[in-house]
Amino acid sequence: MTEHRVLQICHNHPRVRPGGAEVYAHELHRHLRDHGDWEPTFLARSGPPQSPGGAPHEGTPISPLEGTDDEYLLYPEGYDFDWMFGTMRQDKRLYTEELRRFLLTLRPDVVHFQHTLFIGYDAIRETRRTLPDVPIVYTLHEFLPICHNKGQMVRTTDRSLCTEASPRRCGECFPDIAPDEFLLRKRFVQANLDLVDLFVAPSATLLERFVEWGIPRDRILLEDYGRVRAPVAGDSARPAPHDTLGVFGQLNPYKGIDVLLRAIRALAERAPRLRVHGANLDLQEHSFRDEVTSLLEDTEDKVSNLGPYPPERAGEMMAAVDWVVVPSIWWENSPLVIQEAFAQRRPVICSDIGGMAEKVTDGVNGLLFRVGDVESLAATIRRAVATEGLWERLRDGIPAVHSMSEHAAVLTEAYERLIAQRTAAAIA
Amino acid sequence: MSGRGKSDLAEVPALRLRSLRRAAWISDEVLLLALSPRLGVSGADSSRERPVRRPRQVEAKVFAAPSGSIVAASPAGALDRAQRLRLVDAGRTEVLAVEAKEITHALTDLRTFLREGPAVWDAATRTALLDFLASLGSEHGLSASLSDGLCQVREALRERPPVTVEDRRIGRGITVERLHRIDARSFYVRGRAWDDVAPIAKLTATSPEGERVELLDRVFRHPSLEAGFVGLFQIASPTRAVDGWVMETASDPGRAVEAMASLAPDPLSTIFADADLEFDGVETLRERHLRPAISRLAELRRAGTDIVELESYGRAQASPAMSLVVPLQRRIDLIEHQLAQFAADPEFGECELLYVLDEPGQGETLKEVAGELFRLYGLPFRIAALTEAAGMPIACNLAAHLARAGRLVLLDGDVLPDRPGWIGAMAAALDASPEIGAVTPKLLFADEAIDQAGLEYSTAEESAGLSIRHRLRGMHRGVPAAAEGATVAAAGVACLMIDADDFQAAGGLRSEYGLGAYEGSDLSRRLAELGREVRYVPEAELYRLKGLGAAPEAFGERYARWLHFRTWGGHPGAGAGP
Repeated sequence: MTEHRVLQICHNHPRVRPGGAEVYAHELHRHLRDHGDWEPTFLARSGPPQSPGGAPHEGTPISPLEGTDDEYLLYPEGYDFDWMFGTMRQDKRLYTEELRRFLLTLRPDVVHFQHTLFIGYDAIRETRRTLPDVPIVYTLHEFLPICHNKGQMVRTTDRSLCTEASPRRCGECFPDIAPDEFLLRKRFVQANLDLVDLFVAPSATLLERFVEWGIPRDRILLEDYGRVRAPVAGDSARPAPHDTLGVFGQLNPYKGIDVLLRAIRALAERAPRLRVHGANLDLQEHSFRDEVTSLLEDTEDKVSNLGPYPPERAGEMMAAVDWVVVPSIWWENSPLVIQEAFAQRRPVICSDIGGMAEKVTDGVNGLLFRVGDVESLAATIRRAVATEGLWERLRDGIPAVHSMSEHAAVLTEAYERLIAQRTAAAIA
Repeated sequence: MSGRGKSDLAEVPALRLRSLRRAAWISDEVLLLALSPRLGVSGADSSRERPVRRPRQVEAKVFAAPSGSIVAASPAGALDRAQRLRLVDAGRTEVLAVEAKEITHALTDLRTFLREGPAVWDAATRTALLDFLASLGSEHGLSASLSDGLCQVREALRERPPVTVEDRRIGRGITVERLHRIDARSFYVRGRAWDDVAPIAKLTATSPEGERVELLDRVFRHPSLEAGFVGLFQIASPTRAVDGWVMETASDPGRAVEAMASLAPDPLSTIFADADLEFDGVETLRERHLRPAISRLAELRRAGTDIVELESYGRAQASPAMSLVVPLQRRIDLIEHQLAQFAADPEFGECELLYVLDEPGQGETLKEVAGELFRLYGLPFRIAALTEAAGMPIACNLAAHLARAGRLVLLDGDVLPDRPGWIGAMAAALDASPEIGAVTPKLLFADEAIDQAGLEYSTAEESAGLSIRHRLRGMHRGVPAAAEGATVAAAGVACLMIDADDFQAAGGLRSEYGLGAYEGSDLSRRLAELGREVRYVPEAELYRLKGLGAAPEAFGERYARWLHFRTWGGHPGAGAGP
């Protein structure tokens, strides 16, 4: 069989700054490199705001990641990324010169966009222009093409959940932007996404939302993230009492850390221990940082703020807790932290919406609480730590984690099919 | 004359020597001569001269006054001291014969010239002299130098009533809110003049070059300003200066006040704001003041604007079936959004896309990004630019001449197709019958409501007055009535398909409507005169995103409506004509 080349393009590299989508994408890259017949390349955006560094070589924004020969960093210095439209507004040379040169040099057989944030949807168009017969795959990690509010589909007015984007509703969230601009945004983003051959949606919640938004159902593959690590890294059973909680991941307003800390504060002396393994609080707005800092001070006798952790040590961190809490107030897609928890056989306490409710079955492998509801979360925590035998029962209900091998097989099969279709179309 | 040497005196007849008292250049071209009163103008007696050689004849204008005469002449170039000049008036009657060197001996600076003569004349004579001098701009052409000289003269000679204190509580005063140049001799003014004791008897504007024009019987009482006046006025001689206008009001002799005024930019803003007023008598204001001013401004814009092709990107069809003309109206970023839609439309293979920049200052920015947009989208297009920011109608009219296809689509920059196929649908409708002169699509708002499905006229009974409405506006795009093709009374130009010959035959778009968006209705009426109708094409659906701010607001809508119905009468079916 002829070896095919796949180029993944991602908005960030986990070695630059950790984040769920980029960790997954990088794991997929490494897996493809180490197994099977695919020759992968990984191109990740770097530079501000993810990292302070600039392009190491004058005259090119692209350079290899140190210690690798198949991973590159892209530094779009001097380009002005337009959040509203997801494009480099004033200058298109990042695409028409730099990306074009990169694509023509590598000549991949498939281009798989893991994200276009800080790169621009135009990268899809440039790929189609430069490599007209090459399939383009795009993984949907959140609702960014739909929602200008960081892709969360949470209203800016009151942080309530949003179920549909429209010029009127988006205009309510962003009163300084004319509603007509949101139709313009949608048309622009869709015009670029129309060039994609196949979308990958890791959750049904996400898939359905994008179908409603306008992507044809038959162009979306429902396929959960795969994880590299073994489902059970040794049996990490813990003796009773099961009264230690852990929260992992990004500390931003949509991840609900404030809801969790308020629940701990409300429980007061009855609160269990909470270990906070959070990243990127420093990137958040001052008001949110101050709010979280204040809550951490209020709960310091119960809460340990342990800071970020390297992705490869996530299992170890989770093994040290009994329950993993995912209190997000946005829909979530397919939270990797739930997979991590399940891999360590830790029941999950999470919000009862979206990708979380899709992955966790209440009373089977975890507990659900009403999203954003401090009292509901506090009661659920009490129930979790105080109900004898519950932890063990839920632990027994945890399903096997979708492995990266299984996941890569699904993707590469899709790649092969798309290549065949494109080739046939080109011949025709 | 005391400074002259004896030898000079010997060469010039004594009579002539006494006749020329002083001379001064009022500009680089025009010389003023002050003659002694004893001779006057008609007293010149050339028979007593003893010509040294054939004199150079120079035409001159003469202002005669009891205290002396002022002669203005333009001797064209430096004076040759050895030359003899014969100044004649328009009737070829000699005003003065003089050795050129005598003039050079009599030369002084303008200020001294005035101080030694006209400055001490009585007010009426000085005022008359100022009018005389202001007319030099017509005689000699108003150069910057002459304008400057006239301004100096005016400031030296004019009467100076008290300056108004801008406080309405003061019993007498005048203020100028806006003064706009329409052309070199036409001006539009809006201000207030009041006298709490006696009726105002005079309202006078004095140009910086000194011409006085009485406004009281010309301007219109402003309906919204207390003691306000507004109107268009003309002066006989041209003016160049921006600053230095004087507005004066007087209730009776000795009770005058004045205010200084400068020309303000953007006359249309003021005029359309006044044009949008509704009050008894607005017809007269619009007819006598606003319409002539707006028409003149439009005429000047048309005459002063050209179109140049900036760049061509990609190889366009040599013989396109359709030319899409897109006036950009400032939002050049919308090109990218249109290209994102057009690039996926196979019908564009047969079309030429012509963007027209009507804001010349954006040309360089546009050129920088346009090449990259072509490389990214791969859709050929051309960019042309107006030499002046002349507005959408003129942009379309000029661009129509650059278009290569025999069929035009006028398309606003804020219009995006809902899906491919709209061009074909509109073309098929236009081809359906030779009686069809133009076709218009279903235009949508962002919320899927209809913006317009063609235009229709309403009668005075149906609404507060005659008006043109957007058909089906506000209804959902899927409403059955919007699914039927129809002949409509008119169409807007946000998206309009028309054959180039018909567009030219109808005279293109009229540019007198300001920002009132009646150009399409006007064009439709002219097509109707040619026996062509306008069809609505429901299969062609496009969004018109007016909220993007690409098109100017319908400022002056009332005026535009008035002008339209003033021109065309009521409903096209009512039989009214222009």
